Amino acid sequence: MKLKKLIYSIPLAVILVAAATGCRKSQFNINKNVNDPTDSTVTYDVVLPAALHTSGAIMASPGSWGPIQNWMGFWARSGTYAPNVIEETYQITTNFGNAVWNNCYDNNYDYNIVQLKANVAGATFYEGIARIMKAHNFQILVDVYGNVPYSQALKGSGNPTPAYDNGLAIYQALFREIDAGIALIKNAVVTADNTNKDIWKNDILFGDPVNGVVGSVPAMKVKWAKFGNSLKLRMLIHAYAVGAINKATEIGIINTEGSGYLEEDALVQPGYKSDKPMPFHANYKTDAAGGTPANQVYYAANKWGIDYYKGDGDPRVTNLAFAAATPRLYDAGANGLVGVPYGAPPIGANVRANVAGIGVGLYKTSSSPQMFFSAAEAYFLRSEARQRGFITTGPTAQQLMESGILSSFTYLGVPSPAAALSAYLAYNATYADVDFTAGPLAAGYPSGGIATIISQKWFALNGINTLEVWTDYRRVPFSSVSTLPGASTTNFTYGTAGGYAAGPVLSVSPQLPPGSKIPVRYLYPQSEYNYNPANVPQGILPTSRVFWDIN
Amino acid sequence: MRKIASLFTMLMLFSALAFGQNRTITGTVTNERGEAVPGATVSIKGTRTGVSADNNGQFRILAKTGDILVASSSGMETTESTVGAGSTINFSVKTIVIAGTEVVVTALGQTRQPKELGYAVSKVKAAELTQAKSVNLQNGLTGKVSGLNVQTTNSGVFADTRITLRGIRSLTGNNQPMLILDGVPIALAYISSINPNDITDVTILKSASATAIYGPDGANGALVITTKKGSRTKPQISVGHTTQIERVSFMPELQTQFGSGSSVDQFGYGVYDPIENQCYGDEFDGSIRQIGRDGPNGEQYLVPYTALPKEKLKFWNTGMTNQTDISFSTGDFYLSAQNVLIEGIQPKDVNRRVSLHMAANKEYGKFKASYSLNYTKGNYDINASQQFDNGRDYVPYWNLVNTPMQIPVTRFKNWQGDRNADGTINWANPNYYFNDYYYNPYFGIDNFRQVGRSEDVFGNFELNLKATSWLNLTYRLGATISNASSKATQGAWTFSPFAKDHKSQAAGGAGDLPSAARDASGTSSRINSEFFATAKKTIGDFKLDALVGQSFREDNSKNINTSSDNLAFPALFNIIGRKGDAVVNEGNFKSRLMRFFGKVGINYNNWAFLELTGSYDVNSRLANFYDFNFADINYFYPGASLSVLLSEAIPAIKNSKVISYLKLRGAYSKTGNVNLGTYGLENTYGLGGGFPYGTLVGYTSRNLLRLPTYQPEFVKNKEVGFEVSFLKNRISFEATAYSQQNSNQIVDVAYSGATGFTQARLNAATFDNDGLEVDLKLTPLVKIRNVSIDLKANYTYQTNEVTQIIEGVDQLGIGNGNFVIVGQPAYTFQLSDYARDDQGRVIVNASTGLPTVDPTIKKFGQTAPNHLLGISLGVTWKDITFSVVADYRAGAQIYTGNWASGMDFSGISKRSGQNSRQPFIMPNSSYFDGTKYVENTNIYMTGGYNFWSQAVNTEANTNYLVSADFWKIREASISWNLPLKWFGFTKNAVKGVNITLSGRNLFMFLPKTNEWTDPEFSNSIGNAQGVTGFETLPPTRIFGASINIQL
Repeated sequence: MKLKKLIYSIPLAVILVAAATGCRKSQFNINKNVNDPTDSTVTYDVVLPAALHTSGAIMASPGSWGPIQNWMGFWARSGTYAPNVIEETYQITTNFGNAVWNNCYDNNYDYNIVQLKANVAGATFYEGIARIMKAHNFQILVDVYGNVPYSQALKGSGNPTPAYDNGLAIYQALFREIDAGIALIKNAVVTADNTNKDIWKNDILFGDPVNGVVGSVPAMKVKWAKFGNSLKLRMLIHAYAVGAINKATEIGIINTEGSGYLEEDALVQPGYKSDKPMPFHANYKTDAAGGTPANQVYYAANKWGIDYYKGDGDPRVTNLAFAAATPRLYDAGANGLVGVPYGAPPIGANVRANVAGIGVGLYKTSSSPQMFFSAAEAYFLRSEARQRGFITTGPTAQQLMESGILSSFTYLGVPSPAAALSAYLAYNATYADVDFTAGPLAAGYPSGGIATIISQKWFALNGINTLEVWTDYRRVPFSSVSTLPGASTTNFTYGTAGGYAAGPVLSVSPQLPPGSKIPVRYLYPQSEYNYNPANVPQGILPTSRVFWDIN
Repeated sequence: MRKIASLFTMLMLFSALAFGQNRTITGTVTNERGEAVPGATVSIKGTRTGVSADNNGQFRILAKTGDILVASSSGMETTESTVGAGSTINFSVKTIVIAGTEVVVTALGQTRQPKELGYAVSKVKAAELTQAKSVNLQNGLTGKVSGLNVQTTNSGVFADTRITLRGIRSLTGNNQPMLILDGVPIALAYISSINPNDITDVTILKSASATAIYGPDGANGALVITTKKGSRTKPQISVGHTTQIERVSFMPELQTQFGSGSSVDQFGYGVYDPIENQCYGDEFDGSIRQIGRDGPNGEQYLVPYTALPKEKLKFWNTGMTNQTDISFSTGDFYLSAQNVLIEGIQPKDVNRRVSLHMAANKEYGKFKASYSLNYTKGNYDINASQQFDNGRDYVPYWNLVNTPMQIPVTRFKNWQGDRNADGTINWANPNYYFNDYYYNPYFGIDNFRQVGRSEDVFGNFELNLKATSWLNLTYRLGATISNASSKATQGAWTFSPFAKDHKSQAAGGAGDLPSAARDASGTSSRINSEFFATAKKTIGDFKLDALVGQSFREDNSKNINTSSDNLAFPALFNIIGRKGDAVVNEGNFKSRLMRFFGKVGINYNNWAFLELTGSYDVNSRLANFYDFNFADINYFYPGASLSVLLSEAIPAIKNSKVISYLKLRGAYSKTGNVNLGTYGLENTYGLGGGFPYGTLVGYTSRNLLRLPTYQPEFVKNKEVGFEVSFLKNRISFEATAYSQQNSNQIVDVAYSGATGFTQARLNAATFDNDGLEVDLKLTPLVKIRNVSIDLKANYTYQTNEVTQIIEGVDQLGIGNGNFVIVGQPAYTFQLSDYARDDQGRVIVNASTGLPTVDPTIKKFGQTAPNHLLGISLGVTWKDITFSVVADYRAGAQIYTGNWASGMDFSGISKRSGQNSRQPFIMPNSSYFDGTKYVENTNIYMTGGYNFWSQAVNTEANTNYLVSADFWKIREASISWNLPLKWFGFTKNAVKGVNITLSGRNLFMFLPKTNEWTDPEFSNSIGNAQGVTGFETLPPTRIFGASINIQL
């Protein structure tokens, strides 16, 4: 009997010990993250500033745009580095340029979180910003890759293998997203303590921490509407030859909205400083540790490009002819404003110290704001739209184009920009790359108008939005850029109708087959072939065109 | 059963005829574990005089100098000792091992006879472990036990090893066994802190069936370590010292035909370039050539243009390990200390470890109290190149390999200072160093350092109450407390104005380095409280043995890391003196695990043994804080095992003269394991780039997707086996077949970036392990007079197959090129390859002869071996023992592309020198003739710089996939117990002296295709194995000598 009691008492003892040490909820519900914010605790207002900073940084990403800067004749690999044969022979792979894909989707996930959380909270200003900024990233993705995941994207585990949407359908959806975003912002009520509070300091793109809620919010609303309209205009211009997109209808919506287009640069400024430099400065001039980043040495002025600017006496680059005592787009190397032929061998004459590199007009200071969407580009887009008859009122195409040049001069720091503009126009009178009214120089060469606008975008968007330059190269069946004084050694020659053709061999590599053409897209990342193989389009080549590419 | 002797037996018989004076000799008889042997008989050889030892093994006998005392006891080997000048003689007698009766220690410190066990266990004794004087336990186990794979992943000053039993059970979680030291579980990381000389034996519990009581910790089996205890009366002191030297035994195969250059002339021949690291120059011709650039006054550094392949071996130091041990033991007390100093093959790398271990127990009637305490202090100073820059460009090994063959690199050791003492240019200085692209490897050695220290204390105390003759209660409280800190530093370097004008690395200051420091410190603790009761009862033919218990564990840790990559002073590495903001990280973690467990053992007539187990766990890491549900965090799992001793049950076998032992066994168990970190159920956000900017904060979603609930991973282990021995155990054989199903695997799945995440952590996959383990022991194989030869062999076949992943997904990438694919082994490589025709021939361009790389990756081979074979041979002749262990592994592949493609790019690899760099026809290739693919016999492709250094070669991953098969002579040693008579007057003081010469990793036999490295090496000790590169150092060979003295 005693024995039995003991036998029973053992499990009882164990249970008692268990009860003493407790098996209570409070003892085990300790799995709350005490280190990082999580989905439960993060708020839209702390995600938005980081997302906007990233949007600016995407525009300054060497991994995304460096190769295109080279292909478009702006920059070249300095002789300090061995040839990048993949890039320089245009034999790009699925591991090439993946940063565009990764950065844009990663950034858009953050905007998606802002959108969802702000929507729940009724923070309409935040939600509107998120929707417009998402559209911006998707515009980049479509322009680089064509068909990409859109409707099924950004769903996390909800859809691990998102299907690809047609680029055209994405463009059409983005117009409506931007409309919705503008409407949310315009109707947003912002007070010092409602859900939209602090938008004037968390919006590091158009916000105004100095003037606070009363002074800044009405102006912010207009700026966001202008940015949204400019983004839509950019897409309309890309798709100018695509019948499925009705330009008149879209311009009508923009006109009805009524805020117009960007006339000031859209710049990101969270408070950059020397140990937290502006992204472009960190990538190309001085990094956070005060060191010289590799890209500063890797990229030099492209000989063809710099000679072209010089030939036009362009005050952004030269001190030979006009106002600028200091070159803005390029720093002088040991031998002055000398460029490197793209793909040239790594010989002493080509090492970075001996040639011109990226200039102060672009990298500015570490505490300068990061360029996101330039007013110059908005002017050029309007100019082309006016010239093509999509926009039917307001300043003429020539006036808008000249405003664009002026805006570019101003951003890059050309002294007395208005006077410099006059001198620049006069010096290049009758040359179609500058003179809007120029006639054709020779048979087969373009005259002014559209050709001049496209040329001027090339001059103005160097290092600022090279994707747009590449897009122009792909969508416009001509260019005027190689026909001018000083442009004797060309990377591009004016080709037959159907687009640019590669000029003389761009690379030292004998592997480059004759007639090779600059890629008209990036290939989908290798990760898509690995992890989303059922959906990623097969058989994509560097020559496979995106939907608006009519060439 | 031994006879129980009376408390003090004093049978003293006098011999009147003795010459010399009889006197009283006292002593203790103990077994090899230091336990008293009560009732042992001690007699004087050749006489009838004898006494019995008491319950404590103590005896007292009258004998005179020169008498030979003989100790004997049933089940023990007879042992002799000659009476000398002293009055004390202690006997250490060896147990005669009858298979299945020797005690092994299983879970919770419970001792069992192997015959009772329904699952596979192996035991490795001290002598086998330490025969080659390995500095750590894991190396001593390599190749000695079936099912055990000890993989040495690096040759650095830390023992980087990965230990697995029966392969893997978790695709992403821990797959290494638990470590139990004298009954107390401690973290496996401490295995390197255990002094191998303190160990009596290691029992390897190969499956979760053996460790069911431990639940999740035991899912991967266990290494159960028993440390030495001394004799009760007479303290024993052991002193030992080992010195080992380590030399590089293998370097990647390099081409020795071409010097530096990075271009070809119009005829396709390489052009010499004095500043290049790439080796695509012209052929070596012995001429005198300049390397590097001219100095400021036109000075030139001239060398003969010939290959100097030995320079790359001479770069490495001879590593040196010095290890000193001292221990003191009595029956209930043990104290040991160890000092190890390891100087690595990489210059300046040093690791020092000092440890103290103490254990004691005391019995008071029904109570027994015991404790053990271990303190280990580590200090190290290692190269930290990989922590800075992109993790590669500063790494000395990488820079060494990127040094062209004509460069006498070892002349560049002293790089400090622009000028030598005689005023000449110091060509080793980065301002003048020949290579325009990579640093002098000695600069990398000196300029990037990490210094760290660690202190670990682990200990436990235990109270035991023998409540009744059949009931035993145990409470045990254990703690592991660690604290560690480290600081990695980058010295400042600024190129001179002259270098900036002339050297491309220095151009624009891109090569300048600000001083930087990364400081880390952390503490962690684990408290484990455990209570259990055991009951034993005999009812008729049945013996019952039950255990029920509860445990509670809490883990806490805290880490603080601060860093600045821009410090104000060039050599004051304190983050206080930084320019700009510091990077600061803080992590705090807490988790709890409560378990209830029980076990019932039923022994029928000593020949059938059944054991049932059950566990119920409650784990805080499964708790969703915002949606807490108790049902989510608890789970139950059972187990059962059966052993039938046919050699007892069947009289025909019992009486057989041939078969001495025959047992059949089988086991089933299920184990739940939460392979999830603390706070693992919610997506997290980290600070965005540069944030905070003043008071503005900005957070960005991390790229790993997590789910709100997870299930534990479950491991179902099934095994059957038999053990048989013949001819009084001279031949013993054991075989086990097992099958494990591993479900609910929590894996990080690589995701399409378009989801917003690049990885997701999912309860996604199920895979099966199957295997066969065979152990054969021939002890002795041969015995002729004094010579005895033992042979032991073990073989393991292991395979696994992924059976299921989440719906709609048939493959997952887990990183490092490793994939999980339904129907394939885990893990399988998926790599890019050349585009091939349907006959597998490489498709080449019909005009250029060049292949293309297919972006769609395909599966190629697996990362875990299928076959493991270990053979050990021991030869004993009088006092000399010779042993050698060889092992073989086969079936896996290694991928070396992370660095081998870089070596092709540099043109230093042997591959890149093929065909003398002339145009050649792509082997096994075809081209499209317009209608079909035809064999290529005549289209030559370029073979020099324009092929080997280019993506068309380096991005075809399969160029760098080779067989990981190997044979290794793992260890060999010769050991000599010096005759005690040599020690003359000290013979009572010195009980034994042993000298051993040993060698480890003496020979490695690799397939011809493996030009790269030791296939065991890996860039990670995680699950994604088989990928190796510059992260490791080259393989080495170790020679050692040691002396051990017993006092």
